[in-house]
Amino acid sequence: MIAGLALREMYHTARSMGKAGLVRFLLVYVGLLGMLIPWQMGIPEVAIMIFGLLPLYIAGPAGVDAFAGERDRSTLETLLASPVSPGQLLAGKLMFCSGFALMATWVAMGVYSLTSVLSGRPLPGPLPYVAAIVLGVLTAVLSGLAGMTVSLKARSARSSQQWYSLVLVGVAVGLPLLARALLPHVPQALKDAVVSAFAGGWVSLGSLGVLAILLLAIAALGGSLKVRMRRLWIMNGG
Amino acid sequence: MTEAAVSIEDLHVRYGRIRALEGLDMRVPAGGVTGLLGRNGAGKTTTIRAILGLVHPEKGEVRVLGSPPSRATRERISVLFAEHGLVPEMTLMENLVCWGMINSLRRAEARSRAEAVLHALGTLHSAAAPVRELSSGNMRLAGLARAFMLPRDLVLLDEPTASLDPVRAEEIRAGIRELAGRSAVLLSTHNLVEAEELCDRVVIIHDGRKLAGGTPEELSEPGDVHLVRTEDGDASFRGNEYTPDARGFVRIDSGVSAADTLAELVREGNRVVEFRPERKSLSQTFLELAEEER
Repeated sequence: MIAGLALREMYHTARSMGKAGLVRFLLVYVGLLGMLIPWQMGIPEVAIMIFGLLPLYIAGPAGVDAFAGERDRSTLETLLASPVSPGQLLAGKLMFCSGFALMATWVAMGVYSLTSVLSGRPLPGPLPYVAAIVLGVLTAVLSGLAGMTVSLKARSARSSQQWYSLVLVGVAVGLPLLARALLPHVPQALKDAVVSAFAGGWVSLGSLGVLAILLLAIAALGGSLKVRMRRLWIMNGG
Repeated sequence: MTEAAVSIEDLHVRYGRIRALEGLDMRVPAGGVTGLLGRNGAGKTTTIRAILGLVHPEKGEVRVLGSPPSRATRERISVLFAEHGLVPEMTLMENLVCWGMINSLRRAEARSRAEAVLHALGTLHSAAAPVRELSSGNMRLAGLARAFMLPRDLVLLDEPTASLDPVRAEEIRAGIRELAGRSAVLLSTHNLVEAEELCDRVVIIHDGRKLAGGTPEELSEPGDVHLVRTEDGDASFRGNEYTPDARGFVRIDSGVSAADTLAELVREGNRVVEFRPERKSLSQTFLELAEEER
């Protein structure tokens, strides 16, 4: 059931994009984001982390179509009339949007690594690669869930995209501004503790803390989405 | 009495302030075709949703294949709503394969079932075409292919022959008749001629309630209108002269029983060759009931 749902999402995305759309997608994500920007970063350890965040820009937008798009296409009711459970529906749609984002990201990462080698640029060591892959998986799942959460509430795919863009701008602009505003009020002892937590580098208490926070966020968002998805099956709102 | 495929008792469903069903009672036997007739907004789609467990009833009970509607009962039901339910950008074959997989089939099995049903419906040539590029009739056939590709105990069809040409419509009706030998079929339709031809039982609903139910014959019981053919062609009745229609019959609305009408006709000197009560068509019954309710 889950594989059928994921395959359906894949066919739909591929057919909607068409060949021209696929070429554009590869040029932007593999060409621009996969090579140009990481090269501009200079430091390979920082450049590789781009690939930990890249899924944010693919999985989320794919997720926003999950339910709002079904509503637009008048296919949601038929899907709900099938024997799928909320958990399976969630898993199938998430499998596609996260998997699609990760495939594109890892292809971009491969292209970046290959072109770096061919052009004689330095590559990061294995640990930054592992960190980028782990972070990529987590951001793919998290942003996929975030997109699907927005999609669940939105009346149409267009409104879903607009709301998700607002959320993304809010996170990208709001969080740094909030951090900047709060930073002067954080006690020096706490700042020192955070810095020392990351003292171990890629494998440190700090990086494990980030991992735990992301996992908790995924569990919370996924759990809440699964509960709220049950309401889809009550078309008269209970 | 065998257990009904669907049994609905005193069902009340509303969407916010709008009352969609108000005390609906109906039964769909375990085999054959049951027609669900009603005007737009009568509650047909809500009845189908209630059977699938997609609406929360305010009051009343629904039992489907022996249990309340649930995910388990949905495994035994196939449905075609007014919309075909296929992803327009995907090809017909991709849609059907994914639908089979969503319904627990392996990919290869889903493909072979899809090919078989498309072959049976004569639409195998459309398999590689995106659904959005199909004609409206072929889109309806595509929706039917999805609904028919899996063997189910209960099949719910909303206007299955809408947009189809008469030849295709007749083929689909034959398919539904064949299907009714294996499954219970609930057919929601506006096409009263189709209902009369296809349904073993009919339920007429209006404003969320059942107005009438029974076999098409029961619902088209003869009334006070009679058809008479005389030796002379014309007929006189209660001082009026009536001319025959193209078939040679004079239509007499006597307001009394067939025996009394015939006696009156004979008393008035008509030489009656043939006399029979006029049977109402299902359309007439439906229109009369709908008119009474207005």
